[in-house]
Amino acid sequence: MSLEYPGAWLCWISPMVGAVLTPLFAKINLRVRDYVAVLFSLFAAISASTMIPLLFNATPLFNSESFDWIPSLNVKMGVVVDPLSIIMANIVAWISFLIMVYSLSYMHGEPGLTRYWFFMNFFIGSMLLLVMADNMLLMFFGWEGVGVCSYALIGFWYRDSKEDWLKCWVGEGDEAYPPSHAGMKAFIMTRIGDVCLLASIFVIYAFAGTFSYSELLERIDQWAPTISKAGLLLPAAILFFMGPVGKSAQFPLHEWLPDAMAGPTSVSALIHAATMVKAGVYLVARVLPIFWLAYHVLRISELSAFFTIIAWIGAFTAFLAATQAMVSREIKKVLAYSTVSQIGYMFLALGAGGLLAHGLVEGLTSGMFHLMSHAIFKAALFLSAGAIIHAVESRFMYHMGGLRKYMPLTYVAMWLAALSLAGVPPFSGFWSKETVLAVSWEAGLLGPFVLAVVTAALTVFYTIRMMGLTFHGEKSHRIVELEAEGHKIEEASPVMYVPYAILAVASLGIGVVGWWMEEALHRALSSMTPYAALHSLVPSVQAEVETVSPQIITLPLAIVMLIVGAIPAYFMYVSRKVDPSAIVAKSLLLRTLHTFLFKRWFINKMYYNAFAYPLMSASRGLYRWIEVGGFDRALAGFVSGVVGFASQFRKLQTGFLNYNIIGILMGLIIIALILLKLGGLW
Amino acid sequence: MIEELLPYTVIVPAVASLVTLGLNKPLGRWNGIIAILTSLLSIVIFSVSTYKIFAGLVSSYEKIYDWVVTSNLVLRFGFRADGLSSPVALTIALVTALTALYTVKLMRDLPNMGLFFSLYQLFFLGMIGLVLSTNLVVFFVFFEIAVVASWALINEWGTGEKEKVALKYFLFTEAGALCFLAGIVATNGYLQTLEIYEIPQKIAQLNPNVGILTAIVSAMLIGFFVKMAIFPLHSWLPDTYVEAPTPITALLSSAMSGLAAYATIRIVFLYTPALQYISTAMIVLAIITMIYGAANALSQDDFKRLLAYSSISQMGYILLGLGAAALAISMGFKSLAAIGATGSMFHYIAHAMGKAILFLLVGVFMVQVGTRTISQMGGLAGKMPYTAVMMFIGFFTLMGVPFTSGFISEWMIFTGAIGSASLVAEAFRIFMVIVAIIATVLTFAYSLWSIRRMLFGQAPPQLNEVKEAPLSFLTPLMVMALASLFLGMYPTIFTEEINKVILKLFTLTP
Repeated sequence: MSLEYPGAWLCWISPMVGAVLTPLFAKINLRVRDYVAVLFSLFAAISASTMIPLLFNATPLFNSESFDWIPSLNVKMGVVVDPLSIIMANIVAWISFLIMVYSLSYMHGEPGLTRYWFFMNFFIGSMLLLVMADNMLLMFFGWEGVGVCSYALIGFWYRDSKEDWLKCWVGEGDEAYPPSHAGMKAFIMTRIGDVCLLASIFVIYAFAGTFSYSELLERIDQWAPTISKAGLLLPAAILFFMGPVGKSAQFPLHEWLPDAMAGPTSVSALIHAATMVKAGVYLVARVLPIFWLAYHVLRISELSAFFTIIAWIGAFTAFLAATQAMVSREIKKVLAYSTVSQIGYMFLALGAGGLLAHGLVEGLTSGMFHLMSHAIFKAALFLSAGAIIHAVESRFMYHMGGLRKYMPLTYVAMWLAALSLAGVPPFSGFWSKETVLAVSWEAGLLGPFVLAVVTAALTVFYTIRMMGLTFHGEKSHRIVELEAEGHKIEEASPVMYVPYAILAVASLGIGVVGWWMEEALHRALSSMTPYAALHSLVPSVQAEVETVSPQIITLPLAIVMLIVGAIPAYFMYVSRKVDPSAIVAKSLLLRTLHTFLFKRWFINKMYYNAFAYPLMSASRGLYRWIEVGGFDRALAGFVSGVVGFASQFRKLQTGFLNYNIIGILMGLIIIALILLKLGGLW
Repeated sequence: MIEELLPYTVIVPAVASLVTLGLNKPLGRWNGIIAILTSLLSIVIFSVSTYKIFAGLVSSYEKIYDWVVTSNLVLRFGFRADGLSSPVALTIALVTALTALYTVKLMRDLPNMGLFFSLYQLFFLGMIGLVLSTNLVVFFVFFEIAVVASWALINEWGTGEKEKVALKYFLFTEAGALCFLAGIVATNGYLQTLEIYEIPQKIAQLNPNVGILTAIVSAMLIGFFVKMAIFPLHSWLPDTYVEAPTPITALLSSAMSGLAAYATIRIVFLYTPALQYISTAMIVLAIITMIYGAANALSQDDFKRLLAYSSISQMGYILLGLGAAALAISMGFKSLAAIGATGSMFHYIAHAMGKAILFLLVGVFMVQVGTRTISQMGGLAGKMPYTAVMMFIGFFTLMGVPFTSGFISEWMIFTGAIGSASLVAEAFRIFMVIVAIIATVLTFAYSLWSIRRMLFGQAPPQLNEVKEAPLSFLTPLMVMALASLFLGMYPTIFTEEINKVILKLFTLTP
């Protein structure tokens, strides 16, 4: 058996093999176990890279390779090799590898590392499987696999130890959660999205008879009109989108991600940069050509609502999370909110691209470009945040401050990544955010566009705030105390800083060649347009509309927003000329707003009060009133009724022989009479 | 060769049952080992038959004796191992053997072990006979053997108010069995046959009244619903599962209750014309049962009772696949019907693995921790890592997490359910199934919530001395966990053949 695309198979199989081997190597030697785990993730990355040359092929690339798996469901085990999957697989695999290297030092000496390496590798493998899978059933293996791994890794410190509160819990006040709670919350909340996605997959299968992406695309003129006539296309599409909403932590299923910060920082980096939350974006990008074709070529008009919903949810989530990031006091939580917010941008791009007749490639390009630049700078940010948390042994930013003198390398690396997050030219984040704004402007989505522009300012603000609180200003009481105890605060080890330094430099490097990068992505992804597959169907869309370049509007706007966000943040948190808490304390409006944002818009609270707790009391009520009070009661009543009825007859059983004989005789006479009557003798 | 051996899968346990009953004391632990050996014999036979059938070498094995022959009644005593009964019997034999192994290991001081294993083997042979039988009366007889044996086991070795609970179990099941018997009698009267595989052709010949067939099928289904504990006929189950000795609970939950699903496919689906009237009722009851069981499980503090409600809920999944299949058959879409029914059968196997692991874990906790009350546990993952892994795999199988067999089975059930609902083209039906799919989140909720309370967090001080169970306790569980994972990743070996057989079964019918 020879494989045409060995890299496409090996990249997800090798981390999984690595995961399975981890417990075995743990028996040999613990150090060997650690290095072997990292080695397998490196192998995955190399395998993914072997596919890169395919990107430069002249011919459109949409290939798959598969083996029989479950014929009764028409399911094969196969991989899809196209620009989207190749780009995604490389981003995932390489960033994951760097995070694995970082883990060598970051997690050193923790108990339970066999479990850690097992799930980390399984996480990477699942993610790559979901990227490479050529059908939805196999994709769902990866999809739910990342769910399991995130559950296990967020709850890695499952002992919920109160002494390590500063390190391994998340949140404060009445919204403080231990790791095991956070892990469970993540799994259940993303599962809500997953079951909607499942339902949608089954509905589509009921009409299309296939789970395979390429067959869905090829046969779209057969199934899409039928399902639309049954009135189910839009519901199915929206249910489908709920899966990505849950996985990628978009409103209304975004509340799990901030609490997922209870896991080790390397896990957070993996979840945010390379795996898990990117899965949703990828899946939407993967099916975007299908729905785009149904909307623009088959003219199924209700799908415009689908794309609009994607764009609106993305833009609204971007705004929602950015506002919360402005007030959070934990460094990792700021980064978590910012992830939610940035992912919102990606969905905005994809939704807008779907709405435009010529925008499929634009949407995909800007979504994937932003995904890529976000993956790089967010990994860098998380890994440096991990180094800082290691140094001060606290996740709160008010325990940091003035760290630039202690950790100069981290300081520089984190600023590079932060400028990219803030969208400062020429960093990669600037270019990619720019393309998102441009495509949403072109799609005429005014509301989402405005939200996205405002969010750009908020992003700059919270980024500078985070950097300022962490590195600038005076050192905090905690640092003073730690130093008094003889605890030295120093730069992280090279095993830790080399990975994030590489990533930080990469985000600058990609930014410098930003224009070229976008062009390259655009060229590669243009073969995603399903013209080739459906040549006969697509006569009208070919005509490209060249209007005024939207950059004329978006570029100045982006720069203005940058300044609007940066100036107040600089004075408040970097130069510390203005005291933000004094400003907030003075105005009732600002105080209320601060509480509102700090309490996460009360959405998290509301979910607990409206769903989690009522569900538990409903269950208790159901058990007490229906099960015990209803069924068991009724049964007991029935039994005592039967017993009561039967005991009426006990009075007949007097025990006197005379009565019994009289009874027998009477019975005999009655029987005799009946027999006589039947026999016609009487 | 195999067909000659088929009767021995029933005869050997019967003889061994008498041996353990008679020798009892002198045999000591050998009582249990004999039970393991008898089920091993079945494992070997059914492994071979399953392999041969799945490899396409044979389509089925059959051994038929004349039993009662009078001028107007011919009863045949037949055993048939085909692509459906063979894997099901294999699963039963496997679970029985592993449970027996576990009983020998873990319940060494069980009083009156000879009698226990004597009844245990009767229970086993009842289930095997039922699966293999080709005749409605024979089916009924084996069914009764299994019921009586399990009643005696609960009555004698149960906990709490065991006699009362055992009686409740017995009366409920008997009421159901009588309904089923009524169906058999009516079939004999109306279709003039008791042979299961003659029913389709008799229906084709006699062109019977659909109303009467529906009545027959309804009576039979009520019997099966009691056995599966479908809402509102479920109320015997929680008490029974809680008070029955743990190995018997494991068998009842994993092997016995799902057999009603098997019987539905084998028997009820042959009455094709009646299916269109009962399918809706099946689907509605299935969805109610799924949600009702899971919702009750959420607030339980007794781990065993939680699992009992979870079993009720899981039977709802199985029934959903069956209901969908019934609907699809009546609409003439047999390959779609086969997907739903295959999903149900596969879920029966998957659930058997998952639930057997979890119920056996109850026993492990009783021995190692000394309690099965969830609120008295906590932080056990660090103290009992292997046990924790088993618990994860058990629950993940129920939750339908990929890489476990539960994922594929639920996938097939829901594919069938949505597919058949969309045949009718009523948005409401599809909506109903979507609600059912979304309700699977409840399974996640009660599973993860139990895991968190039992395995995570800080261990309460009284559990400081808790030790990991010896690996020999956990061996049976590990075998089942591996089986669940294997079937989750390579379901083809079961699904394809079961699917083919079911499809053939469905196309037999006109």
